[in-house]
Amino acid sequence: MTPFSFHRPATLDDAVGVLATAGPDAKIIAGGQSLLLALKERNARPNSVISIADVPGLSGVTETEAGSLEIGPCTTYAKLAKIALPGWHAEIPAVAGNLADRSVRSMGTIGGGVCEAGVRFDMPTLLSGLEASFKLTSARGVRVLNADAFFNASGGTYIARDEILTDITVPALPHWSNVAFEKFRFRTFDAAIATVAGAVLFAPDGTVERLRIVVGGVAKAPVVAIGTANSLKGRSLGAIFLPGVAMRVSNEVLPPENAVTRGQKYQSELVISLAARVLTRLSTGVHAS
Amino acid sequence: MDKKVEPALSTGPAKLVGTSVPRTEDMALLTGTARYIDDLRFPGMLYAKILRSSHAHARIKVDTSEAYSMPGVHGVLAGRELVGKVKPWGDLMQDLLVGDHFPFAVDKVLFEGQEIAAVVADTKYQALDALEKVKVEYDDLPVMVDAEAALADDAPLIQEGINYEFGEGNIFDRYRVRIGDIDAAEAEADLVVRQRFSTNRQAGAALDPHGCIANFDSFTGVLTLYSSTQSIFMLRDSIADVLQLPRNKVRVVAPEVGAGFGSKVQMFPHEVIACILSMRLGRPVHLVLSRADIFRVGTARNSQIRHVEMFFKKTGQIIGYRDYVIQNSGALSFWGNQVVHIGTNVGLLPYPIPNLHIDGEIVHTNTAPGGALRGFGIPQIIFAKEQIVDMAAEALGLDPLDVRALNTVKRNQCPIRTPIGQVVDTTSVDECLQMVAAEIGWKEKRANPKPYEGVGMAISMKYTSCRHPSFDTDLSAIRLRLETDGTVTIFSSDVTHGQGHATFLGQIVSDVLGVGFEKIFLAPPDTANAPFGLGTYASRAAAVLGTACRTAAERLREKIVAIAAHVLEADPQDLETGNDRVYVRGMGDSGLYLENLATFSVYRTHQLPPGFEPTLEAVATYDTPTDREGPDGSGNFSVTYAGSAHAAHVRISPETGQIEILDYVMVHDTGTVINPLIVEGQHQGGFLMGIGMALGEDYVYDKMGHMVNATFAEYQAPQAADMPELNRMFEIPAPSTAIPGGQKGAGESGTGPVPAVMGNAIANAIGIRFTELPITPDRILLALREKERSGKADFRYPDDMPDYLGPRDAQSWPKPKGELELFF
Repeated sequence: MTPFSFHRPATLDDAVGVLATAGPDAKIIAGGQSLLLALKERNARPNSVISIADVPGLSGVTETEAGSLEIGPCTTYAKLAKIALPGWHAEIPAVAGNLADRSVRSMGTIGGGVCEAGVRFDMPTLLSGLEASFKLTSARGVRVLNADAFFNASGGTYIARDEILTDITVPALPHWSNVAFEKFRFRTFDAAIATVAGAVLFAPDGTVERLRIVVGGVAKAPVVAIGTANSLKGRSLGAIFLPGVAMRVSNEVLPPENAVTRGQKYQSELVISLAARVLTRLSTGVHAS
Repeated sequence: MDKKVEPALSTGPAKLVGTSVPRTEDMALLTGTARYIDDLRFPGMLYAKILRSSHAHARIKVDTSEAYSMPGVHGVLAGRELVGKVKPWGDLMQDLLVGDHFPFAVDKVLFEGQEIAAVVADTKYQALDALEKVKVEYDDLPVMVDAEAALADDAPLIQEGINYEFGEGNIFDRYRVRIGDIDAAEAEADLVVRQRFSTNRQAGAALDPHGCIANFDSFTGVLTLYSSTQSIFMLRDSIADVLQLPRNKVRVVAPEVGAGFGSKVQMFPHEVIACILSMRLGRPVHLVLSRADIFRVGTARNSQIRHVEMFFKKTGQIIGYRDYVIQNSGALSFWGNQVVHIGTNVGLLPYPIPNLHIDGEIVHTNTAPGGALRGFGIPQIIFAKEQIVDMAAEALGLDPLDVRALNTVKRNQCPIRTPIGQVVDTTSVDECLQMVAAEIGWKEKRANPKPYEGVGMAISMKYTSCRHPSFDTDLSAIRLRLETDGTVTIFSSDVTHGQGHATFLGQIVSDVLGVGFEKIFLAPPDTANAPFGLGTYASRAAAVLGTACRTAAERLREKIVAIAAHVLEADPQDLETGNDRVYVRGMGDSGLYLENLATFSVYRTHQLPPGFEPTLEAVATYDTPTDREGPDGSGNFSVTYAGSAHAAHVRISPETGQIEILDYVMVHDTGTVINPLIVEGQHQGGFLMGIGMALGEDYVYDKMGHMVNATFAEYQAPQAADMPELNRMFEIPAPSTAIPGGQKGAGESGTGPVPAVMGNAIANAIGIRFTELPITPDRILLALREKERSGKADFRYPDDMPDYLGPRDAQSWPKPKGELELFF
């Protein structure tokens, strides 16, 4: 760890103010589960570290009048995991309660995970799959990005240097009929080798009106299997051979010619298995409990 | 006191040996009050850090000049200035045969992580800041990660300027066994099974880091080294030799050691560096390694490529074993060559195979140093041999259980001297085999196979103690003192680091002396007051140290009884000890308290028998009746052998390749068990290390020789959440007759069979034979897909994968580089 100045602003205004003046090497810290490790290994050498852990209004989950969920970025995974949510919203606490280990979940925050945007993290894939949006606040004002605009395909996010993630909004229940998230890792406490999130909106006749499938772990940001998903529009999931669809998902997000290493070849097989599970769950409407 | 207790009192209390006395050590460990190396603080202590090579093979130029002027810096050290002042070391401490170790790389780095410079400063952060100012120019050389590449005729030399026995080249030791007539066995065989196997590198991964604090007293000239080590005397003698100090001016003390598994049983450069810095500055110097450093320099299991041919008769009888072993021991290695010698010899058990022909080449590569690790070569050979037994059984249409039962050494044959010379004094491994089969449901499960499920088994024997071929000793010692308040102090130099020495030695002493268990204390390992012993490794504690302890306690008892007999005017034959007293047989509620007898021995010497030498101390050393290695590879290296039979029932996920262990059964022969609780823990730990080797752990290198998974996040060591319930453990004791108390080693017998068990169970489940470790879900799933594509019934991984570049059949195997005609 190299020396830095440590700031603990009491309000959001103070936080964005400090960040605006702290220069390009400032880092925001919430739960510290990524930054502290990087500091310890001297891989990150910020001149300022600004803690937003004490800033009021950045933690907890609230439901808006429109039924969407506003998740404070400083909400820890452990806290999130304990919140009872109806319908497919329940997939969020289910995922939060089944990642990393207990100590990381107790300290780590959903916002920290999203801003770090680790390719093997669960939340970027899930939130992208749900079409969550991300509110960024700076001294210049506020802007809201959807997931596709938030995650940078070459790694990381499009958060500007003077911005702080201040809210994650998950659409209201009617936005999707079903949501499913699946992942695989060797050990329970490992980050995932591949993650697949799926969300479907069924038309009144039961056919697919909208389908979104997002795969994490195979590229530097979550990859949306747009082509495969769009091709199923108007079809009934129950009438399709889902493992075949899963194979198309895998081929789309990790084309066989790009799967060169053993790890990549494995991921391409794994994505087939995980996507098949996701599609099956979407078609049968099994929610996480 | 309750009257019901009285009869028990008069007949003496029940013996503690054989009972699960809760571990004396646990309170401090569980409450966090145990003090490990990084917890120690000394007045005026400085902190040192080491700059390590970021390249695997390169010529280097080092400039440390800027580091001196950094804030807080007290000293900077690099290799050049130590040349001619510090004696290079290597091989084993007895002779320091090979000078391939030095505190720092001087002109050339041999592996990533090798020491280049060190800084000592007021704080560890200042030391790290200053290290960033050390300039290193690297002129890269070709990197050899694989042992086979390092063996090539045109391979660049890794160790330059070292005269190995075998001349120039990257082979630093050869091994050979010639027993019986292998050609005759081949001619006679009804079936020959040939298969190449390769095994992985594995870390000790002790949670307590390697580290030390050196404290030189410039007034007395005594250098005290506190170190997280398994062997204080080997370390003391090595330090003294390298720094050319009198051995009585070097003192090594072990604090609480949070495990070692073999990875702390040698002297490391950081220990020498801390000593030099402390001697220069006259201040305590703290030097504790980071996890990344420990992965890279803390020694790893030696990986082996084994080209095995086994010769069978139709009945399943094994009549011959031929093998060419190529072992990767990393860039330098203290114990690596011993791993092939001892691991192969002992790993041939429990089959007394009459014809043996084995060549081994122990090779340097530009990778982490190879060292001792739980199992010491045995899991590697068992992985090959026990899978071949299954392959042969299948080819012969026999049950692998029956093939094992036919070939294994049996209880009623003991004592037996095997063709290679092992003396198996007693064993129950044949019974362990039958029990493990019954407990796993062997016959039923094989008769009723379920898709993607399988059962597998393996048997092995592990040495209890070891006479290392280039290290002609196998001793441990205990000194006991009956203190003047009736308490007993045990002095031992064999460091306890998970084996429960305070507990099991206390049980022995309590039983022999009749002193209360709570009154016995094991002094911390300290060369200043402990008798010379080799240390804690090779599963030797209970048998070797335990025997020394029993003898010392008996000697002390004799002295105590002599004083009591004199005072009581009784015949020593009529006296017994118990309840902290010496009493006339049958009168357990009377007699003399040990406290009084001890006081006589020190403060009331007129009460002593005529000619009695005052004080109540006793020392005993036990060296095992074991052999040195013969020129043909024969010899009995271990005083006795612990048997184990393991079996697993597994399920493979065809979607992810994940391996689920549905049931795991272990049956062991640990002889007379002193403390079942400790032995159970040792078996569970041994299993965990075995399962890590089988299913996850490996040192992953890129082509440039960078280890890419040197963190606990990436390195696939097993974690508790993913392990099966380890409650299916059984003991069938065959008490050792070579060891007076009947004990056998417990520490490593849980490791040996595990990789082979998993290989056999997975082969039974999915028809894929894994010849390479570790067997990970990615390999399993890709093999499953390739097997489906290829339509092959007998599929081997990686041999039958399309991208496999190694030899697929025995015709293309390499031959040993040279026929060894060396007799030593």
